[in-house]
Amino acid sequence: MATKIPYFKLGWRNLWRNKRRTALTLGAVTLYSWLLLWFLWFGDGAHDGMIENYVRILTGHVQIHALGFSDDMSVMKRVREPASIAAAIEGTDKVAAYSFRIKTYALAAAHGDSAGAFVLAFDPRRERDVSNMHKSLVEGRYLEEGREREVVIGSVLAENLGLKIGEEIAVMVQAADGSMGAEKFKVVGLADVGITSMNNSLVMMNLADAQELLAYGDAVNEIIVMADDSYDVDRVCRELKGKIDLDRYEVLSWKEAAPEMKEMVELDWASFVLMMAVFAVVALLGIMNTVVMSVFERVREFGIMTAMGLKPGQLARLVVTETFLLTLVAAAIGFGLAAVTTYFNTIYGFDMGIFGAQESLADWGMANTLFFAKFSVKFFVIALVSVVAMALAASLYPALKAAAMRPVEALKFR
Amino acid sequence: MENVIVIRDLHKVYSNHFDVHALRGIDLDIARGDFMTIAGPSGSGKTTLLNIMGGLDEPTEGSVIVEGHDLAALRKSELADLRRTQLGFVFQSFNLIPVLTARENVEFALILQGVAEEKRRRLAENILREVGLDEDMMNRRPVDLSGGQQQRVAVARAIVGESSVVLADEPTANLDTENALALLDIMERLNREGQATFVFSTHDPRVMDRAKRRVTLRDGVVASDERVQ
Repeated sequence: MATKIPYFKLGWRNLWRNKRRTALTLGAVTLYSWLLLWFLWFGDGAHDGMIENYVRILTGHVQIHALGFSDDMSVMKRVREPASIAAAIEGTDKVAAYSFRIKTYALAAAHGDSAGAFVLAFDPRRERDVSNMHKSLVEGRYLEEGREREVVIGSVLAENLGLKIGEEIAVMVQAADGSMGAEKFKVVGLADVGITSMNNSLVMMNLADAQELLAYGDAVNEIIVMADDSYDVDRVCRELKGKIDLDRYEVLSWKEAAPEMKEMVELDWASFVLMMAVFAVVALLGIMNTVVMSVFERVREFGIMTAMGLKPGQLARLVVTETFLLTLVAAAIGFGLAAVTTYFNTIYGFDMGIFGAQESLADWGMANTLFFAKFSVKFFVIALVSVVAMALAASLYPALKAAAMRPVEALKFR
Repeated sequence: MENVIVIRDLHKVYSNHFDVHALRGIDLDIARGDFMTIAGPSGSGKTTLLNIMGGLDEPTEGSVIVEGHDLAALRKSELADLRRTQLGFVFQSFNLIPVLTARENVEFALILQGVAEEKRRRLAENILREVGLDEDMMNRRPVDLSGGQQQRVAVARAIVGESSVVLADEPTANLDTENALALLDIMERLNREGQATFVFSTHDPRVMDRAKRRVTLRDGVVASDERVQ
């Protein structure tokens, strides 16, 4: 016999028998749902922003070197035929841009003082598409293609060596032919890349100047590739590994080249999950308290229902329905609030600087503390599943309790 | 006359710190159309007997057959089916589901019996009119009805649909005389019109005066069983 028990009608009305209690629980679960989804969407966007900031300063999405270069940055390990690698990159799907680089350690000297330096050489026109180095300029002008023997140096290095715009700096390196390469360069600009250690040592120059200084010929020692989107990185990396001779070259995604950044993001997610798990337990106990109280207040009523022929499973389903109604209404309001908050965060961003995060972010090369949220179906589904699981967990005990009631004892209850 | 309930050698022992023998071998045949009371002093086993007849409690020994079904042989869900289709209950008080209106309370019993919506509404309104509730009262929740009105709704719910036996445990205990007599009038009429068999557990003389059959329990056994002309 088909019986269509009005679970929703009964559940909804039962919820509002104690308005204050239900309203308080509804508020708590709404707050939880709001924070959960908002933090997920903001966290996703912020992490994307952090990664983007990071890869745009140093690593790019994918790096290609001579085999072993990432271990010791030896000048001997170079890509002698960058044009053939470039051809492979250009034939790869989802690649947005690429740039040739030379990176090496050096000694910089001026006004009788010297300091350790980190030389970063590139084609300024190509580099604009893969990094934000051109945005780090704080004084003077940026490197220009075709102009020889000019450098942009870290602002702290300039200060340490007493250098001003227009003055000369000597750069000494070990060249690939075993000789010492030394040359004087004119300082045309000062940069602040947001990473203290780099501001102390950075010397940016044109690729051709570095090739000459290191006796590299046409060689380079790093090729940076940017994918269309951070989600495409693994795909691009995989495809490049299939095209490039891995006995001679290494192809590294930013996660391999900078595992510390990947770990930081993972750690950030882990601490978020831990925090939300604590919130979830509090919300779960709140729901469970409401439903358990509601069940214990209605023991006799359940006895009457049983006498009328309601089965234990149907009683349990009634309790589960009440829990789900309470949770899903709260989740709908919370998710709505999260959508509104996130919408504004996608437009105006959220300045993490208000939490005093500038310094810790700067340690990771993030001068910019304004991060933007990102809508994502994946995280909506995760939030929804989490809330549904919470409702299920909260309803389990009271539902079983209701189902296990002996009618004769329930009817004696006053 | 055909028996709707047959009870044989029924025993019930409550075991806690010590054994309490609530029923000590009851034999009883309840015929279709009976309007009977089970009376007796407190502790005589009236409510226990009624609960066992309704499948709400289990006997320690003996058998109860309701409408041909041996209750001991039924699973919990089958007992629920039997209660839903064959039995109606009226308790002393707090009979109704508080979040449903009077009409919805009666309809709920019909929902459990699988009656279609339109028929359900019609049957519920008819039976509520029969027990003396007007349209306005039908749409009130129990909290907005008097004790007497609530008991009328409980009776309506107990007999609506296919229920053939109404088991009523002290249904008039909380009612004043006027309301108690009005309720008894209704039940008597419903019984006379052949809609249901009524079994009352009571020590209310107002109910016993109306009964066509009076069974008295004493110390868990049937002390007397008389038919009233």
